Amino acid sequence: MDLENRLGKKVMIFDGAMGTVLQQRGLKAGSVPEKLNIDKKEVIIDIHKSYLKAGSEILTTNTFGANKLKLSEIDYSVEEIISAAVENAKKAVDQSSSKALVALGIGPLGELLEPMGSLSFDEAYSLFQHQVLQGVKSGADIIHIETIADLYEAKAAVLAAKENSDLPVFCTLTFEEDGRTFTGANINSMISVLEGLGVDALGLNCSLGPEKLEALTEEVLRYSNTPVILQANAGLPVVEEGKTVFKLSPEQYFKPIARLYEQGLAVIGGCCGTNEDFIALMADSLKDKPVKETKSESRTIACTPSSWKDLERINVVGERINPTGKNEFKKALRNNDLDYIIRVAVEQVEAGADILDVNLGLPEINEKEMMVKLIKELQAILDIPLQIDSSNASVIAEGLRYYNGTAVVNSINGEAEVLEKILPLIKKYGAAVIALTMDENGIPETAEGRFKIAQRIVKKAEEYGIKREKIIIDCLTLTASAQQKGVKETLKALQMVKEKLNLKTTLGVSNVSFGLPARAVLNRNFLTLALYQGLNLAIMDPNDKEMMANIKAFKVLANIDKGAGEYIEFMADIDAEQEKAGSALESMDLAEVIVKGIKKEAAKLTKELLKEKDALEIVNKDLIPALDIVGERYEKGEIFLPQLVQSAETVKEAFAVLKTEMLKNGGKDISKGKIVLATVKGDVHDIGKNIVKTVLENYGYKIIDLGRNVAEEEVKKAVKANNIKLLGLSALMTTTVKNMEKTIQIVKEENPDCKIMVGGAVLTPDYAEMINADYYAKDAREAVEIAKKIFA
Amino acid sequence: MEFEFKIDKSEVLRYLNTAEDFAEQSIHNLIDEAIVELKEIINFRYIYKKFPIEVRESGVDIKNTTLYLKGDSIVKHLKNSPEVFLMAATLGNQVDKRISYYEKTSITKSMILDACAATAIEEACDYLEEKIKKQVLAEGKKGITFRYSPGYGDLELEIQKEFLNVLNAPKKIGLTASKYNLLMPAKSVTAIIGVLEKNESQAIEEKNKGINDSFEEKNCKYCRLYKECELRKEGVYCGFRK
Repeated sequence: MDLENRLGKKVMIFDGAMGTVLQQRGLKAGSVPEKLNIDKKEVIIDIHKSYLKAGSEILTTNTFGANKLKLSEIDYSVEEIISAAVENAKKAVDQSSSKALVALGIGPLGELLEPMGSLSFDEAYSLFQHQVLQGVKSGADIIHIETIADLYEAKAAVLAAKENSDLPVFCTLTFEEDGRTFTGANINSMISVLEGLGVDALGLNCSLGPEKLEALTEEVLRYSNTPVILQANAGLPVVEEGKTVFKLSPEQYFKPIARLYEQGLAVIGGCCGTNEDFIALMADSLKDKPVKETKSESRTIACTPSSWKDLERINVVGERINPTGKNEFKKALRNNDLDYIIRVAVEQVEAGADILDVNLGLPEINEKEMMVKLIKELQAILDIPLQIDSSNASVIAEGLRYYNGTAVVNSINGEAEVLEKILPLIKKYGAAVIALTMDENGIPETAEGRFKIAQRIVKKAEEYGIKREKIIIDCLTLTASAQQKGVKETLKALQMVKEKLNLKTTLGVSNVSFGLPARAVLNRNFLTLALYQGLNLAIMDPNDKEMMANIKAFKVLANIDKGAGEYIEFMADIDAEQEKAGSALESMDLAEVIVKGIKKEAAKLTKELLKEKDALEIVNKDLIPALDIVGERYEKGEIFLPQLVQSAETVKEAFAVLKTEMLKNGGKDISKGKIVLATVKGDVHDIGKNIVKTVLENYGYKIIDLGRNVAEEEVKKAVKANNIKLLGLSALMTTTVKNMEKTIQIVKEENPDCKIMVGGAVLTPDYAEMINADYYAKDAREAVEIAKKIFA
Repeated sequence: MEFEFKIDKSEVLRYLNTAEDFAEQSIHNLIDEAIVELKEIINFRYIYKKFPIEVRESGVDIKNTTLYLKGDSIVKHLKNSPEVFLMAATLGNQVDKRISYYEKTSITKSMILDACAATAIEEACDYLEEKIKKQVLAEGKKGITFRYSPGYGDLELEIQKEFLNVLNAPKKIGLTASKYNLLMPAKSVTAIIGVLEKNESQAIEEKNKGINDSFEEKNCKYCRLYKECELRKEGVYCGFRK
């Protein structure tokens, strides 16, 4: 069958359920249905044939869980299962003299990917790759990725399919009634990511009956430019006499399907609880009918799985993750201190940024590695789209690969070499991209010159198959002090790009004021002018409340913020903050603030103290004594862990101020020694380790935090590279304590002098000794005592 | 939502290891805030199903499934039950993500949210247990055993994956187990509840009365934390707090 000429043009009929049909035929709960491809192939062939007889044009192989993780318990390999499964489907097709296509069914891996779980993106990719390669070898016609809840997993699977085969790729996710998957992905993000990756059909399957999925499918149809699939369940299952049964009849199932056909549904089939009767009814009525044209309102978004920003609107892009001109940031980058950078990110999100620009361009670091690491860390805790900012194509490539969602890339320009290198990446990952209106000859002086470059870039991008909607033009802000005439040219070019090319636009707003006093005034005014000319992405510092207020004000005046609700809310928040700041506790000193754990006061008081004495004196005379009081009270049982931790965090705030100060004065660190901390492989919950870290930092130790789920080798590497005297390991589960033991062994092999302390819910002093740890730390206080001993 | 979370503050404080009359206002405020926040992000999903069982000497065979529960403790637990309910419940990924967020921004808040979530999942399990009990009573049976989870006593944690597969939990409620048998999302529970028949009521009731002592004797000794366990010293069994 000629899929290319049918898909999206004529309605295509998929098959129905496999798993629930097998259960009806007596398959035990918990057993591996894929085994039957070999053990009972006649049953599988029989089911396939029943679907062909009913009118299916695509059969899905019985390989839902045929990945190495899930098949580990059985005696057959992935290769054996997939090859038997494809053969079974083909045999059914031959024996039925049908022209149906065979789709290699690929379901979820059954383990959660990081950051939610512990399976890495690369591991997931290679598991899928394994399946795809065998599917291709066995002669499958389509790769059908289905019942996925995690969009990141879908991305790994689609990439594996695209990079290891030339077959068409279908992908369907499974949603709950509220329009989200279990892991929180929404419809718009799904469409953006899957279309971006270039799947041939996308849609929904499983979870609910077609009626409950109708509204969601309508949403997919409205925003998708790709043929849409629906394979719903036969309603919700009920338990009758200990058996799971689906009550929806084929007729009931068909009604919403018929309605959705009218709105453009292109591929239909069934999931759990459906059988050949459901398929027969759909095939009889809809097979070969032309697919109705959808009223697609496709939009271009930047997204994470659970949140998205329409790039057509006005969005604030936070510019603070960038080492240029920031000593402390540079130092953090050199020291691998991601916590500092994460703080910068969190601050911008709290200030109202819509997207965060991430620039880690510092010659002496491994930008590629750092970019991937930071993207993963940021996405583990924040829910904001990122803008990958680099001039290095390989950094962009890696960033786009590991980013979870649809990213913006900053940037390309008119240089032929840049376009050749980066446009294929934009296309492959479906990113949006900022294009600077400059080229080999620099920045044209006139608006017309810049407009021409924009035109050229768009043409080139379209040659690579990139839609113009994905392109955001930066007409380049010049500084008013050096090129005063140029400011107007930028604004003029922006307007031309907007009106004549109908493209999205961006500007790095604050560049305009370099070298002039009261920069904020110039920035604000320039921002408003640019917005008036049609600026979409304002790259700026969202911590600048007045700039933010300008954006809100513009949205009211331009009739974008209808009813001014957003504006009113923003202003109310500002008022509330000012009130809070005004009611600060006056008569407390730093020690008291620490003992009471009033975090937000610590920085202010420390800054004031710095006027009287130097940083080291503050540490010794104020911080340490206060900590000692807190520690004593904790030991005596007068205060409890939450208070101890709260005080520790307060000290951390004070330390942050002191570090900045010392760096400014070119002074040395106050570090008393370096300690590596890690939560061992397999363990993803590390509150305990983080408490220990905070408290140790309080006492002046420099912590190299390797995070959670850390491989043994990585710990060894960090210990060796930093010549570490003390390593702290944490584990939560009996099952991961084994990895702790392995880590200790591996570290000690090459670093016999490094002492190792361990802690965590399931550890005891005896057990610590048994796994060859040097110390057992019951809590953070004990960890400090151990550190004192080691670094005495 | 069919179930309204309460999130009992005294339970939260217990998880935070504070004294019962803990009065620090700033922490109390943080707990109040965390409870509100948590209720907004909980995505409570559950599944439970009844299976006939056969209790053997070495373990319990869950009929119509591939699952076989090995160990002395589970045999004792289900000795008088012809049937069991297997249940799985989760608060969803969002809770984990928020706890991670606070780990980077405020450890105090992350500890507190973590304790609130632990309280919430227990409440959810109590609710399910109650629901199951009602169903069992309505069927004219005597009652149910308490909840027993993989990892208790000598029942291996290693069955976690299979347990979830039997319930089709990854697909139905998005609950998975990692290679190391950690439940993910983390704020989740799997448990086994035995059904008690009427004719055995007398004997079982007697048995239940003393369950706190005998259970502790018979099961805690399998636990790695036997010696150190603070709860046990106070006479509380971690899997049986009611």
